[in-house]
Amino acid sequence: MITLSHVSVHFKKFRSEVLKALDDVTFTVAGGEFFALLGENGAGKSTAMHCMLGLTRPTRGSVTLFGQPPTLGSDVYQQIGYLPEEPHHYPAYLTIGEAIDYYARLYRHALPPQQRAELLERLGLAEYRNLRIGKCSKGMKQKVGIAQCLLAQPRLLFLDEPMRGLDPVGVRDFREVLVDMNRNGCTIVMNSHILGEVESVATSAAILKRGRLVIQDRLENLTRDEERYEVSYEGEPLDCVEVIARQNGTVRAILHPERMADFLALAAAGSIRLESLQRTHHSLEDTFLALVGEGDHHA
Amino acid sequence: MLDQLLANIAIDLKFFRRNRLLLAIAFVFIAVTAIFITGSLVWGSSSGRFEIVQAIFMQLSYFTSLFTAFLGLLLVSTQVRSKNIKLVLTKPCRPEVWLASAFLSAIGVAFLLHIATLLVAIVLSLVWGIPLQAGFAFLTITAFVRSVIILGYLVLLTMAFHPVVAVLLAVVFTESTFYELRMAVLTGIKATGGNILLPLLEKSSYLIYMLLPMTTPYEEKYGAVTQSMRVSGELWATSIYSLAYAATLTLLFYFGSLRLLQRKNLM
Repeated sequence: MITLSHVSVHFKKFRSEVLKALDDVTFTVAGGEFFALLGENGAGKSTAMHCMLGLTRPTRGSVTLFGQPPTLGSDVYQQIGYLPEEPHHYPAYLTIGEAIDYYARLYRHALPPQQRAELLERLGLAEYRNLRIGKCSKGMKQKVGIAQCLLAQPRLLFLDEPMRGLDPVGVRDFREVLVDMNRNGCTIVMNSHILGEVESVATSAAILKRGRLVIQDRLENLTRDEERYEVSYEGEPLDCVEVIARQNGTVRAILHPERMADFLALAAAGSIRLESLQRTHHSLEDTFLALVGEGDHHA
Repeated sequence: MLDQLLANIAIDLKFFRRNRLLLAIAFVFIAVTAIFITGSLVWGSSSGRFEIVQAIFMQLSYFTSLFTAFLGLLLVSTQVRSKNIKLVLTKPCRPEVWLASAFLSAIGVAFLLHIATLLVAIVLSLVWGIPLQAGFAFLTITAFVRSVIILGYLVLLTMAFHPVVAVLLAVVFTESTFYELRMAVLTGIKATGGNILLPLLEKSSYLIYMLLPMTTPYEEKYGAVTQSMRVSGELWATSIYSLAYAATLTLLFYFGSLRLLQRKNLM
């Protein structure tokens, strides 16, 4: 559905200095995927999304969207919804209702007025229909953005930091909408810093670091349950475990499967009092930090 | 496509109606004109009413030309710089349509404001029993042509530069600047008997003079009209040529702006 082939985007900073926003990035997003683009600030996530949308032309390489290069305003965009990162992208001089009606007119097959009203109702915007966008809070502007990108029931949805500004209820509701849309065949490409959120919804992800693609894989390959356990018990540190922490007589430690029998024998003998034992989980955050580098931040 | 064009025009007109800067400028124009009219009514003699109508019309026409010239620049620069345009062009709405709506709505507002100026002159003439003069209509066309040309020129410049820079360039890069420069250089060549650089400067100033748009075509023929408000048949023909010139330039500015918009990085 989307292909980036050896895409580089370079910006001239000074006479000879060049900022490589993207550097030889290649990946594909298949139809029906919930694809997450991850990376630190300035890693190139938004630039990659802008390339896919046709808002930025690559310095080198090529992008295809539904098998053709993205040409702004073309018929392909009938099937696309886009939620930008910044809430000031919406015309502040329009009311919420006017903006939604305007965007609906730009799509040839947008939701009819009744369904548009229901969408605003579902997002909690119905009572603010006549409020100017310039007077809306960040969260409300974000909801306007969500409403406009759902207007044409898109087959492909681009979301740049979609949960920004939303309250916890809004986050939950929008997550449910997205999961539901993805189940019904909508391909979703999302930029996000909230890795827990990504892990709960995405099916695949790509991690960028300083404009270069570090990895692209299915989410189950980027997260996994490990063959080791985290235990917590009251007692002394044991030889069969790797102690992580010890506080007020309670020991937290890593237990490897080959030492499981020894550990359980000690617990059964009453040498220790076992409080918890669970398989450790290698989260997306662990993968991200391992690949991008903990403390290696470049804002 | 027509529905999208109309949708964009409707939104552009809302922008003009709700833009506080435009409203403030319009308010100042109206206030200054109202003070002028009041003063003329109180102190002006009944025999000088024709001159009063003429002065009011010229002042309103001048204000309207200035005001409307900036409509396109304000609309386009606001939408592009605030990135509102990203949300429009990532929908099935082509840049051609969006830009056409910006030109059409700005030119439409300019047309209506110039018509309103003409109506003020007509109403005042009727109220004071002054015979209607064709010169008001003729000068309205001239002022409208000037508005449209500057409007398009500013839109083109603002696609390439910051709006403030665009305005400065429009003020500096006028045909009269380069005409006067060329005349000065020619005088210099005559006086010094020639220099390697001066003929080069003369040629380049002439080239730029030829390339820059005329804001008031046939200007040399209008002087008498502003005095008497009478128009000969030959002059009416020039107003038609002026309109054709403005239409051609607007098309050039439109395609130039479109090309710049398509090459713009909209991140």
